[in-house]
Amino acid sequence: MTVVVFILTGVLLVVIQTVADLVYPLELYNPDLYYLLIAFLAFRLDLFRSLLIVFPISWTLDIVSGIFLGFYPVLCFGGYFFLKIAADRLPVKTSYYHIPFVALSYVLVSLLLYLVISFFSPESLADGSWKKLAVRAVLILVLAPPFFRLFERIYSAVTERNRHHHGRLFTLKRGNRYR
Amino acid sequence: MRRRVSQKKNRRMRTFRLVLLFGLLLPVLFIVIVSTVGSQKFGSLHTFAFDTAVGPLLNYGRTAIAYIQGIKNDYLALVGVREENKRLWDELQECRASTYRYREAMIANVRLRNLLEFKKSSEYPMVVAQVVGKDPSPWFRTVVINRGTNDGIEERMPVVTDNGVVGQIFSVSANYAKVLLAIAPTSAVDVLIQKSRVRGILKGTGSGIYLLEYILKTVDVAEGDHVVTAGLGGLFPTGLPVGIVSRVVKKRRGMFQKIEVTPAVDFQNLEELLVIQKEKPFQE
Repeated sequence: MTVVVFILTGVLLVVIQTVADLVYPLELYNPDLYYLLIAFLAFRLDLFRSLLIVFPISWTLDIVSGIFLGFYPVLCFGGYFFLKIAADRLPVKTSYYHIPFVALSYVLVSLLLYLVISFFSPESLADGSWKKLAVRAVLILVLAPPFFRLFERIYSAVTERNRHHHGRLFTLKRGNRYR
Repeated sequence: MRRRVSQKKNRRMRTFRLVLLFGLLLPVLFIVIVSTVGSQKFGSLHTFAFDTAVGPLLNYGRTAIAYIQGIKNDYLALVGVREENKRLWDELQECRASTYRYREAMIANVRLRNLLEFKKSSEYPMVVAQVVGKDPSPWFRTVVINRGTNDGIEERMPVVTDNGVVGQIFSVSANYAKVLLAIAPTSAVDVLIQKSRVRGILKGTGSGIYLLEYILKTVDVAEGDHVVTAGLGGLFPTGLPVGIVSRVVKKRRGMFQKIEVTPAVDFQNLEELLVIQKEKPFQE
């Protein structure tokens, strides 16, 4: 159930992002909402279920965007594993402190992809992507808290066992953060 | 002793009140009754009382009542005004909404009429498609349209509007297709400058302009020159408008000049597109 709900949520976010530009030409300020879900999955869900969710979302992105098939799966899985490893290895477990890593992972994985494509197909990417990348990273940083809360609510709604952990993601705990 | 003195005082006061009653009030009462009942005339006392006391009192009373009535009327009017205001606001909103709808319908009408005229004037069969999605990434320039193989759409078919070239079909499914816009960095179109008939390659930059490449420095190109499709390569038919030369730079080094071309199509506001259905490559 969780997998289906989050796949639908991810696809909905992709659709919103794709259609939003038609209603109002956002261009530069069109935040990558799907990446916030990828980050949430890395922090909150187990590996198996996360992969089941990430794949269809990245696949949908490949359909509606870009000219290289596989671009978005690489971006999404790259970002997911970066965050998953970071979340597992960081001493601080409260996800509030992981939000900068979401933007950082987005920038790093995008840069990596940009470099790879620039190497193999240098004329495929639009000019001025650096500035856009920076703006989008900031947007991800800003939008992460409200969207994480939303995803947390969805998660709590679909899973009974998470009822006790409701709101835990953004509870700023006091005391020793390294326990 | 004290008690006796007090009783005496009380007795005096009572006598004084009786004298006052019978000596002053009763005569006055008598006079009033006699003057009223007797002569039946509005006497001087009446006039005096009327002018000095009753009249002004009535006047003040009337003013006070008018004032109170005014407040009441104002309040009632205010309640009415509030309701009327609400009603008028609702009416205004409805009017605005319908004006907006009419304006939208009018704009759509003009746009569709232009498309229809363009479609009629064209010698090639065309399919009208609507843009249903825009590439959300900052790297690529594609749009999704609501026509696919079921409508006769195939890969590499040219996509245009009545203003000019938009791009080409990149990938297609049964009911939808992805269009690679001409401004995409991967896009390259064979074009010619309409005035000088010189051919070049128009490349997308990913932003709002094209770059016209391989035009020799010896060729006379000026801002405002129209650029149209050359028909080479068989992708686009000849003579479709592509853009207007907006900047020409001739560097000291190199054989070619750097020419920027402003697209003829507004890529920010793509709504309806025409897909040219070609069965075989266009002839030059």
